Amino acid sequence: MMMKESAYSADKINKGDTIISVRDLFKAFGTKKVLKGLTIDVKKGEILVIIGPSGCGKSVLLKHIMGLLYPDSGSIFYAGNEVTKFGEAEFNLMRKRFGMLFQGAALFDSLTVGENISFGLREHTDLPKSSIDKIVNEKLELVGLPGIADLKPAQLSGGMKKRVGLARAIAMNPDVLLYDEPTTGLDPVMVTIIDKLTVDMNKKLGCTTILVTHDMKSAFRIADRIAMHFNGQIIEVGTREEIMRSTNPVVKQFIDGSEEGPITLAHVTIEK
Amino acid sequence: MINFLLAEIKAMIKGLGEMTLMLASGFSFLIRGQVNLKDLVNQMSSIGVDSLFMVSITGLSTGMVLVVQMGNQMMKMGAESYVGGIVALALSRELAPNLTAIVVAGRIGSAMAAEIGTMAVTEQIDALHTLAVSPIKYLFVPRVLATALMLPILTIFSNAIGLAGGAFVSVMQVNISLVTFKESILSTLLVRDIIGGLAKTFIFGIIIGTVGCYKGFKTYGGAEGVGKSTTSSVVLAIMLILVANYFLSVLVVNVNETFFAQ
Repeated sequence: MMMKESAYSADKINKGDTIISVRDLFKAFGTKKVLKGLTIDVKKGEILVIIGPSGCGKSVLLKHIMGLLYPDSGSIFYAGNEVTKFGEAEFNLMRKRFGMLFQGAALFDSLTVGENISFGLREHTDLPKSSIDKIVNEKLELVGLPGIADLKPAQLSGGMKKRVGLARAIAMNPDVLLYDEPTTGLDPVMVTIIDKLTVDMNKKLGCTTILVTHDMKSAFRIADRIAMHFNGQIIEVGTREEIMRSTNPVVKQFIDGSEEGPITLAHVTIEK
Repeated sequence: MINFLLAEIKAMIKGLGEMTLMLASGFSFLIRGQVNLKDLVNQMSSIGVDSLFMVSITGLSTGMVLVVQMGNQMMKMGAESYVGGIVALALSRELAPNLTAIVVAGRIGSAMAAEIGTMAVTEQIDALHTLAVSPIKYLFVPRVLATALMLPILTIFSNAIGLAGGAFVSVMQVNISLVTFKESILSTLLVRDIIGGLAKTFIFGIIIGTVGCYKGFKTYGGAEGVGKSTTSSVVLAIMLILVANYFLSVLVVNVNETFFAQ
């Protein structure tokens, strides 16, 4: 099963072809069934936004793709490799091609901003310190936060933390970027800034982006395609226009933010 | 009630199994030389500095109280020439290793559980995984190794301070001369008594580090979860130290009798 790192490269996939395929994924935490046969394809180079009610298991899906959680059944494929059969060593090879921005940024408290961003580079490359410092500065410039490499995460605002988290996620020039509710808890201006950054990163790095959110404004602003996650499954996928015109009552209720409809409090599960 | 006890026992056995696997995984990184020396030195330095004061007070108090409790009785029996030796033996074989380990479990094991537990609930452990870095290699190995290496050093310190405290009380309160106290130590205490005690603390260090990290990794449920992990890490570490101490003491005695019996 041990493979070379190149086996996990997205280079062999043409833009627009499926790069990640999730098939019939089931996951339960105790008696709570969070994923119930979830299936979705992600195309190379696109921004796929997964929307759904809070606590419906969107983050759980991302964690399965990254190998942070194992499914009860079902499969995930990345660049032709069956991720769900990976051991830790194979996952680590694959993860070097991925970047992930967590909901709370998940910056390492004990390290400076610069050390956070350069963490992967220091662990996985033999680059000299001068080159690493250069990359750190470049990434900080990209996220619009130049000159803060020596600050500690505790000295940053919520929006700055998210942007540093993004700088860390793109430090290794990933093929795939995963965003877990990147705009939750931010002010409207910062939400717009993060949305713009998400699109910029996708274009500049040429990477595939999967973003989960329940912020409909963000979703319609940045998505190439939108997938509606409800009751443990993807119930509809389409372009922004297709989703906007959807006649599915769940999608309609979610877009309208209406209290009346098929989405009720009972559909909110406990996320791990 | 029986079901509750069975569930608790089952959970404990599962936990011990997971800790053993974690230790084995950490050992595999260690033998491949995958230890970040900077992290190791930082951890050793912080464990030493953070624990030294508490370990000193504990050692000093133990040495002094031992002499207070038995000094006068021994004097009455005309056995004052044994006081220094008994104090030295008690300290080096059992009291200093055990009490130092318990203090470090409370001071350092809990801090490890709290730090790693906070990292777990704020998704920093997940972030390590996504950066293709093993939390076992990055967090567990330096902490466990540092605790295992520092605990014997702290115990040496505790032995020395305990004897100094014992000597002080002997001279000032029980009227045993310093020379008598010292001669008693020199004629009774053997190097293997000290080494046997220190060898035990190496294992205690592994226990403290492993339990602290394990409880941290298993933390969930926000601040409340961190609190629970911190408390349970201290309880479990002390319990395992006390159980391990019996078997390690038997081992040390058997080794001494087998290889050094005269």
